[in-house]
Amino acid sequence: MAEPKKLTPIEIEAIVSAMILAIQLLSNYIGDDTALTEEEKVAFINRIKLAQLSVPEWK
Amino acid sequence: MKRKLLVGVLLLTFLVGCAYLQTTKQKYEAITISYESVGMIAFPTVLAYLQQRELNGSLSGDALVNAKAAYANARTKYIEAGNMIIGFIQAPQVNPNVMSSVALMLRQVAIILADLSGGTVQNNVMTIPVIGGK
Repeated sequence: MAEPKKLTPIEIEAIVSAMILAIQLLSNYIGDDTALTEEEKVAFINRIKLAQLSVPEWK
Repeated sequence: MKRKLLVGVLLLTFLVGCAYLQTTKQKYEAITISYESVGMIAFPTVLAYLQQRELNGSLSGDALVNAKAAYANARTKYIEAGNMIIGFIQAPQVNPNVMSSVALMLRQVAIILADLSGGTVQNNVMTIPVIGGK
């Protein structure tokens, strides 16, 4: 059977770019002045959890 | 549609980059948006490609087993990185260096997904240039 069209380099780069940016941001993270409020913390944590849940399993 | 989504990722990364040197809250926002982009766009896109290959038989046998193992590994690392970010948000003073570990884990995820989607990733100091499909 014919192999489906592979992702193009630009598509792959787009995917990886998001990760690279995350890595760069996280690597250069500097804690500073203003802490988050409890409400803001909960909001960010919920978004992270939602992102975790949206990663599909490959069965 | 897929291409449009990925262009959206690029635009998103640009916008996130604009917030790079802003306040603490904006930094958390940038980190969260980036993390969301990987989980909600990159993983499903790569998985759709792999499942299409599995369905038409171009990915089978040992290669299929290996690809599934690699994908599961990337997924585990991604989720673990998220847990570390959550821990950091809850108590940044406990382990201020945890974000370095998160960065390394996400980099591994990037390499695995790029490899699974037919590209290769080269190591570099601060960037991971992608070389086109195999």
